[in-house]
Amino acid sequence: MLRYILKRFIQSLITIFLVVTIVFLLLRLMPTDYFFTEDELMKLTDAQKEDRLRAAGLLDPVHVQLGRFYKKLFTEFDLGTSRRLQVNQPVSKVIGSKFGISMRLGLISLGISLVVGVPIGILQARYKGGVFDNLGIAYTVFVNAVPHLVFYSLILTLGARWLGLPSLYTLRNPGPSSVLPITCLSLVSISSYMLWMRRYMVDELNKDYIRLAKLKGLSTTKVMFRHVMRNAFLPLAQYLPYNILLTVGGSLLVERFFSVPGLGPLLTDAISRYDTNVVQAIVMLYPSLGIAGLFLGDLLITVLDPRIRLTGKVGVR
Amino acid sequence: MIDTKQPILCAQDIEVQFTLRGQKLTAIRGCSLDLYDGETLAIVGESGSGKSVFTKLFVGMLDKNGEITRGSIEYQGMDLAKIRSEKQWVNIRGGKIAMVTQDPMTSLNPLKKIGLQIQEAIELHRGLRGSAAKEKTIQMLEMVGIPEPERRYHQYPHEFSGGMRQRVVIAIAVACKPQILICDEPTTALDVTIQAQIIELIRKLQKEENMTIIYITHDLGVVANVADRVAVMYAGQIVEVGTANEIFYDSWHPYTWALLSAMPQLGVKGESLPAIDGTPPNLYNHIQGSAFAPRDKQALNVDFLQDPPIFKLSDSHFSKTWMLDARAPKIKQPDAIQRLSSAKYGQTVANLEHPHEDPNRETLIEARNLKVTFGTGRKRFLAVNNVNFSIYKGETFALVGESGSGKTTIGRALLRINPVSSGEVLYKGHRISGKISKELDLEVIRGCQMIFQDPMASLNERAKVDYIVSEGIINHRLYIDEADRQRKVQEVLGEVGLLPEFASRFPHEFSGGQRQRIGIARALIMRPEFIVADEPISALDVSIRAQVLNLLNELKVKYGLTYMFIAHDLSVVRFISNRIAVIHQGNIVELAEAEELFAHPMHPYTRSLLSAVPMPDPIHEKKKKLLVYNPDCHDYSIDKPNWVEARPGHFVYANQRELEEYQNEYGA
Amino acid sequence: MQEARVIYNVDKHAVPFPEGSNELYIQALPGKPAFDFAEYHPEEAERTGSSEYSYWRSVWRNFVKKKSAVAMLVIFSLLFLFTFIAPIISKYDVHNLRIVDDLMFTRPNSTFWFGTDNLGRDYWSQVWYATRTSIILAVSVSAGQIIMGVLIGLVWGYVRSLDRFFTELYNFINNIPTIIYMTLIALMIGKSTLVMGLSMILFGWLGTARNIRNLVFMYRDREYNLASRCLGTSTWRILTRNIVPYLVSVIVLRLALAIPGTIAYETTLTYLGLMDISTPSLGILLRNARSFFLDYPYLLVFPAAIVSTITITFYLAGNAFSDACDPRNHL
Repeated sequence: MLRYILKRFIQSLITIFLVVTIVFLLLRLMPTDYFFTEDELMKLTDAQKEDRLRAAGLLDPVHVQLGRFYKKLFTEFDLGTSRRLQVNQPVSKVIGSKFGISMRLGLISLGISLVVGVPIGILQARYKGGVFDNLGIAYTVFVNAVPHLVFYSLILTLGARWLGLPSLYTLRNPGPSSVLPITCLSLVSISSYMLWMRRYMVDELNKDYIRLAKLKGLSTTKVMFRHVMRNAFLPLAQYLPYNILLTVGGSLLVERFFSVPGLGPLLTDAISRYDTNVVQAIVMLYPSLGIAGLFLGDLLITVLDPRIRLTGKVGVR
Repeated sequence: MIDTKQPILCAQDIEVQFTLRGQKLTAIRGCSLDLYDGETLAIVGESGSGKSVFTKLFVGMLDKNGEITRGSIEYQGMDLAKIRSEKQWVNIRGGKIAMVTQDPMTSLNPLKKIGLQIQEAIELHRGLRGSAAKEKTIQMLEMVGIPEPERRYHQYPHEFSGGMRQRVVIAIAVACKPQILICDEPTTALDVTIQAQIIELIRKLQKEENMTIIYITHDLGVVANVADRVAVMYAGQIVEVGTANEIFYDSWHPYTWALLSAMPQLGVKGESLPAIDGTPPNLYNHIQGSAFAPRDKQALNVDFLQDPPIFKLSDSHFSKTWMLDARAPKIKQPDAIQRLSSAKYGQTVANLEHPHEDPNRETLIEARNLKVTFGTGRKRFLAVNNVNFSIYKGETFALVGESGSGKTTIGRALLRINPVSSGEVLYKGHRISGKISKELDLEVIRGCQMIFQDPMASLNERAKVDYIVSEGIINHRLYIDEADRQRKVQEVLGEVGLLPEFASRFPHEFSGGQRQRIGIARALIMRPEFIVADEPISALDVSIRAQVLNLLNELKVKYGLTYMFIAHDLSVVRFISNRIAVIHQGNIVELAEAEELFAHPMHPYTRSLLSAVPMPDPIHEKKKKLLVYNPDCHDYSIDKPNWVEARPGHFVYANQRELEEYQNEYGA
Repeated sequence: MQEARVIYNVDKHAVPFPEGSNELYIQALPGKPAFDFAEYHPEEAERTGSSEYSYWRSVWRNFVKKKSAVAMLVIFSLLFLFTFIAPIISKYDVHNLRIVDDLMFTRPNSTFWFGTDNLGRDYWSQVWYATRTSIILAVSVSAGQIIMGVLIGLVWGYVRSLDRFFTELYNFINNIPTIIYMTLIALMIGKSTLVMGLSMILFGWLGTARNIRNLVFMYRDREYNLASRCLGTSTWRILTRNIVPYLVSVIVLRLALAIPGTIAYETTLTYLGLMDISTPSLGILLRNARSFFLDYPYLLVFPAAIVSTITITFYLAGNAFSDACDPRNHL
């Protein structure tokens, strides 16, 4: 199992490397004008521009630039500076400031959805086919079927008109103005935790070992607590780190919708304004988060599932 | 002796209905049964006979769409048929009536330690807590024959083999201290030798724990071994009930006769088995009269009109057939029953041909140093190790081994489905393993075909029988025109005993036996010379097996076919095959003419297999001694083993010392 | 034979058989003595076991039972039909809408059935035109994704030697959120409907392909396929005759779920400004409505109601179909 995880980890690193390289090369295809701010473009002469470009190494052959990029990245963790969004600020700082905001929203909503969604899913499975279960199913269908944009609009209308909550996020007033974004994020992910928890519970309940547990003379409730719950939580647990890390990365749509200055909208902003270094950094960040999440999930599952061990042969997967 | 006792559980005239696809299915049609303290009652029947459904009622585990529509089950002053609340069932399940389920691989919680799963039952029913409960658990593990119980306590189900898991399941059931233990086909999923051990264990536990056991099975051999009393079920009714001796040596219901007669163990080699035609009735339909009548060659007119009453043959023996009516014609019990009661079975061989003894014999298939490996790198696994054998034209060559022994792999390697890692396969002297020419490939496809084990999985559900059967000739355009193709399909369907109109139907409309015959037709239409039959009857019901065996034998005679018959059960292959090879973990350990192998088994593994074979003979079964094969008994450190001919035509895998031993014993 | 006597008759409802008479009095078999051997018909025995069950008939029966899904499908069909009728009865041509400042944010009335937008343009004609565009776009993109997914999935699952390649390709694409690819493509290549539609297909086959691959894996070594290989059936024939028929239910389900997915994705992309906005689609209307709907809710209500109807329809129908296809539900 350890070999398997390591192998997958290395494969993922190669993937990131490939993507970063491809994006790097694509970005170098763009006109060098984007190196300068709008201001500079107007003021500087061509000769001055060429000097600046040469100084920045942008006129060197592409492979030399690529080598330099990786060298800087690995020796100094330097991702370059932003040229357009926040002139001459280090990219890490640009991203860092946004990251905090996204993380705060993401973690709060994740916490809420776990605490609410998982128990609801368990109850649905316990009273499968009952009124409560059907209401839950209707909710998950609604959230999954209706486009999120419409769903968010609905929440926004309700929240802003009837509860008087701020409809846009402001840094001056982060508390109340994050209520609606957090609500949107939570309501969506609650439905997915409900759905999966219920499904895994029902799957487990149909298995043979449940029959044997009942034949021992355990009541359904005891069977639920002693046998089903842990087994059903296992597949959910495997993807938990992945979900946490991706939530931390922010939601593009929600952040755009409520004008949250988080990580989500940064990518489109950076691309639309041709801020190459920022684009490069973000393209590296997301897959890294995802891969780290999957990796942690694998580690977690090896701890929780006795069938999978770090040494020895690969278990049932 | 039994009738002086009071029954501890008494089911009266039970009827159970299921609602399926909007239709009502009557699965149990008026069953009455008494259970006496301390006995082992076997309920035997085919799939769909209702034996499982009936016993599920005793623990309130009937499926949600099922319902008891009539009758009562008295137990300790309660009527189990009336209980609806889970709370009451919780009081009965485990502590009073426990159950061992069929599939040990899925019956245990994969994420809970074995010990804790047993301990749970102990804490619930024996009032022990903490270290006392743990101690008892370890005792239980020891009691069911699990070595190193302290260490095993902390292990998880995946670290246990199938047989060991079934021991754990039994330990859980017994840990509840039940009065009644229901064993629902507890050994069906297990190998023959493991099956014999589990049955021994259940018998031992019954004595030690003083339980009453209901043992459900479809295997009459197992019944003969475990049962004090036997109830035979057919189409939702108990058709005959009596002591084991009464049922095996003196039964009177035509269905019991048919079941026993159809067993290859009791057949005369070289003759066809008295098979039961057709399939069990569809329980959706109303059944007029006796359900077995349409399949009974000696049915009376009255059988088609009125359900027979139950006749009393002795204080313990009851049979539900018009045959016992005073007005019915007097008939004799069939030959098989007579052979059984006079213990004259198994030795009878009719004028059997021995193609392999013919000096002018022609080798059809030959395997030379055949090796098959699966997987790569560290996960590499040797499935077949250096196997040598020849199959002569016109013979039935049986390959017998337990699951995972590599027998199926060999069969598939011969037909080029599985690649061969080293060694070679010769067909009529041409090498057909590895890369071969297109013409030779086509010749192999036409000449060598396969029949598969599971008739449910081996037919394409989404294609009509017409396409399935003619797939081979379509692939190679082995017909002149559409009319010719249809004619060929009709012809081959007729040969396997299916009706012409079946061609336009889909497989799901057929029963297992009919599906298996469709599979045979599919192979037969290529007019092959050689057929690999991979456990063609093991997934079939007892009453259907004889049909398929007879068909295979008929076709063999008619077309001069050569078979390789793969099986896990020696008793069946003795009836059908000329020569038998026994395979253990990828090695063929012994090969001999069938009767020779049964008379003089050499290799200890063959002997253990033979000792485990269940026979439908209670007297034989109750005195038989089980031999357990331990692969460590061979000392191959210096003296290396070889594939040697110990006697003419009798090969064994042994080293020099063992060979001498075997040959010495042979004379004695 | 031993002496036997009747102890009790289980079939209590049966007419008692008269003692002493050997002739049957029941009219069904006149003249046949009750205790004579009956004629034996082996074909009859052969027929006893057949069942009435048909897979697709059961699927259909189960599907029709889901009233909500069927009702939604009917509503959707009417809605789609109406997108062709609406422009005919509309007073304004969607391609020639005038910008009239006086008329901006006119609430729905008899002239402007759905009111006007922030530029004073008729909303009715825009909404129905957008609905049609969105449906057509969603269906074609989804179909493209599914076709690509199924083809790749089949090859991926059946051809062992290509398993590695496709797995790596899958991991490579899947490791990065699709939105990053879409953003890069939109801003570097172009935002035209064609480019974005193709990109959605290009990055949307993964789920289907993996699903199909896993199923093919499951079916590939089933005995009936081994039987076909024994008979020398070509790979292509095995795929089309033996495997694809088993995948129909999954393919239909994936298609049904891909449509709401694509519509939602299109609205998201439009909202993020990654789609061409020259032809009105529901996403564009929703995006435009964002700034005004707190004061003019009708701008949101009409497109939102329609888009939700469409997506819920396909979602419910897809799930109902998949439930209906599960043989375990054929009770």
